[in-house]
Amino acid sequence: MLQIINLTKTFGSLKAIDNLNLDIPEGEIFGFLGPNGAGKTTTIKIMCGLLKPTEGKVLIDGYDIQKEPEKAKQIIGLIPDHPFIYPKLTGREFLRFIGSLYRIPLKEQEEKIPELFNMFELNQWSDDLIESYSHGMQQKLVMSGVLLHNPKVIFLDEPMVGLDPKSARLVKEIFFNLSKRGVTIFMSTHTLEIAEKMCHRIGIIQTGKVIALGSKETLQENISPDKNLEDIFLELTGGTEYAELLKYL
Amino acid sequence: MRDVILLIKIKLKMLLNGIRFASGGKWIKVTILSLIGASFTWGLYVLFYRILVYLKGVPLLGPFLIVRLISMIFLVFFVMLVFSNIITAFSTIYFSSDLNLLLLTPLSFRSVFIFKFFETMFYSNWMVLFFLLPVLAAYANINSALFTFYLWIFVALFPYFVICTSIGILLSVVLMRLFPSKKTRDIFLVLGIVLGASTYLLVRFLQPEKLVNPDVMMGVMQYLVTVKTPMTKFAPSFWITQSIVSMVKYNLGRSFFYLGILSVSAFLISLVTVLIAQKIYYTGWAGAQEGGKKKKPKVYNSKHRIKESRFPFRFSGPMRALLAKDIKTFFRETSQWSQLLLLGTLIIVYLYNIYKLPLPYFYLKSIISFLNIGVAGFVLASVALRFVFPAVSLEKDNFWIIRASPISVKKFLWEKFWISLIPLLLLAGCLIVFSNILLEVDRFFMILSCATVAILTVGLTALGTGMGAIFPRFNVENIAQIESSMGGMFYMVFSLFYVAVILVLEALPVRMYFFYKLSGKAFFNIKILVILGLIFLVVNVAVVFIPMVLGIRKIKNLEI
Ligand SMILES: Nc1ncnc2c1ncn2[C@@H]1O[C@H](COP(=O)(O)OP(=O)(O)OP(=O)(O)O)[C@@H](O)[C@H]1O
Ligand SMILES: [Mg+2]
Repeated sequence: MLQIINLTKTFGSLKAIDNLNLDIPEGEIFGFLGPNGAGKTTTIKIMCGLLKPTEGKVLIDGYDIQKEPEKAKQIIGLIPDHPFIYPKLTGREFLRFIGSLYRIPLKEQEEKIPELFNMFELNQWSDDLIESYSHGMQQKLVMSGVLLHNPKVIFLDEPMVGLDPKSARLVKEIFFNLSKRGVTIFMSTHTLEIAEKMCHRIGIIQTGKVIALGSKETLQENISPDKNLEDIFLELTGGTEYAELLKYL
Repeated sequence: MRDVILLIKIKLKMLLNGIRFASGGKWIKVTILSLIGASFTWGLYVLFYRILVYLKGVPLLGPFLIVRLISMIFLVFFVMLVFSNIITAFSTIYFSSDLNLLLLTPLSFRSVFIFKFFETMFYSNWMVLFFLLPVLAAYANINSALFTFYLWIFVALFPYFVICTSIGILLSVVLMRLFPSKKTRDIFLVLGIVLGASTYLLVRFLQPEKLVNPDVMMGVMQYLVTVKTPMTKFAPSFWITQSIVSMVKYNLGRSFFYLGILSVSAFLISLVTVLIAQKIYYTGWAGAQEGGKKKKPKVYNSKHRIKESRFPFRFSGPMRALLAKDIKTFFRETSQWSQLLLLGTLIIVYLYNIYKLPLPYFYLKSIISFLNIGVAGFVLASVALRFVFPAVSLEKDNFWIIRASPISVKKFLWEKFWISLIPLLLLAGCLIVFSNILLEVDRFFMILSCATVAILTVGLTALGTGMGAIFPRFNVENIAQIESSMGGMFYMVFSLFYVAVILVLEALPVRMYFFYKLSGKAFFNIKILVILGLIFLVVNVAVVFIPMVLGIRKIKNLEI
């Protein structure tokens, strides 16, 4: 469903992504982990066509995001880490805008939009300008926008930041159900617990290279069977060295 | 006070870094701007010098009139400065993004406030210096003042500026305490624009060009002599005038006396401002962070919504969505729609100027009607710089929504084109039809100029949209930065060149027509007409499509 082939991205002399290869089947929830600056956001942006790859390509359901961007973009949904949205539109207007942008029939929009507001408990705010929304509310609105246009692949860049526990649970369940219905989900996160619980497979990336890939169980088997994901993550990315330094704080 | 100096130092360092790491393009821009500024200052100096020479020559009253004039200038600037300080203070003291950081630090509110006081003073007064210096230099020159006089100007201007800034800031602080909301700033922005526009209209309608006429000049001078301004003795503008005028006459005692009054008042009023602000600044600032929204929760309910389906044009769903979004955003952003007021003023002044033109002969009238096309083109180009060029840049942080969506870049950019073209065509139509009616041109000319201006509008819109996409500026705080960017300048140069080329291409056929009108003999040279027509076509097609295509390519490769 989602193929990343020999992907490389350089910013000037910096290699943000270094020959990345991934193949993610339909309906999988893929967790993308890595320390700050590893290249997670960069990868997601390339897959959505916001950045151009220096080398390599990305195929979404067979469509090259660079060569057939309109076809590929019709079936993807993006929830970025900083979801900026038009502050001078109301929540409802924003969803109508998204609906028309993705050519969702008006009737379907009229049915789905109130449902989405209900689900994310945004009803009370639906006719307020977005500039008065909180961070979490804006994020929920962006998610509503993504759900509105029925994408086959959803990219989430640190989706749980800013959500209250109830909404976080809701979001987890929504994406779980979506994946059961065959929607592919690519998610970058720093919350290892979420990765552990939700993701079918996990990829750990450091300085633009995948350094570990597989389900939680395979990772444990291959690296150290008695450790949890956090320990594995720190071991792989070199976080344990700081233990000494921490003493001085 | 140490904190304030630290803050100012940091600000200066930021400024210096801006210069140190400036790109080549920025240097070019700075050079061009300084050249324009320098010639403007020079022009002002020459103009004022002449006026002063003239006034000095008036028997008996001369010196008196000069003092009156200078005192009036200081009075007018006093009012203007207070107002501009109010508006600047809103941005620097309440809505500046560094405040979130500054007010978190253990710095006292007073230190932050004093720092912001100086910042406001700098921002709102430095422009005025460019007006005042040439004027005062002319005054010094005509009285052959010593070099020390120039130093004196700076010494006297400092407390004058401090007073203006204090009053402005004090008013804004009190206003913000009374109406703590983002709306307050918006209201004052609109008020400021209305005030500026009406001043401009007033000055225009007073017909300053009539001053060239000696009779009128005499009348104005009589008025100046007779008018009584009792309050001015207590105004800072009076003190600074007295101080400067006495200095020229080497009346040191009097000069120092008024400087003393000026300085003491400046000190007192700034002290009062700081003391009052200390008490109420924080509450106002906290209030300013709120949108003032909760009073009428359902302002934008379905009844008030601009229904996308109501658009009369046959645009596709996504295109309509973009149009609706842009229209709503425009009319909900005060800093955007309020510019329409300025546009209205511009049109009035434009038509008024034409109305006032003396047009005795057919020949002169024809030339002016023809040049009017060029002037209209120039006006349209400036309007497009303000409203069309920033269209892409204004997508800013929200651009990811469109870039990640299946709408093609081509559609996106052409949407921007259409949404600008339609209102711009209306404006162009108004300008050219009404000005032609005022000029009483004949049928042929009406059709020719309407057609030309319509074509120019299409070309300028495409040029503005396309170049706005080629030179996008996403990391700006306000729209003025987009206009004054490198790309904005390029756009202006290209569009003026384009207007000139079109005029040149039409000049010959128009001349042939006039000869025909005057002599009754036809001079039409078909071959030349065909060649000119072809060039005309090529130029317009190029101006429409080249920038648009390059803009589309640029956005496709844009990384956000
Ligand atoms: N526009 C850019 N220009 C230059 N370098 C960039 C740009 N965007 C990202 N980088 C660099 O690319 C590298 C990867 O950044 P990226 O944002 O993908 O990291 P990340 O994995 O998302 O980190 P985080 O966990 O902090 O979100 C970083 O070293 C960053 O400095
Ligand atoms: Mg990131």
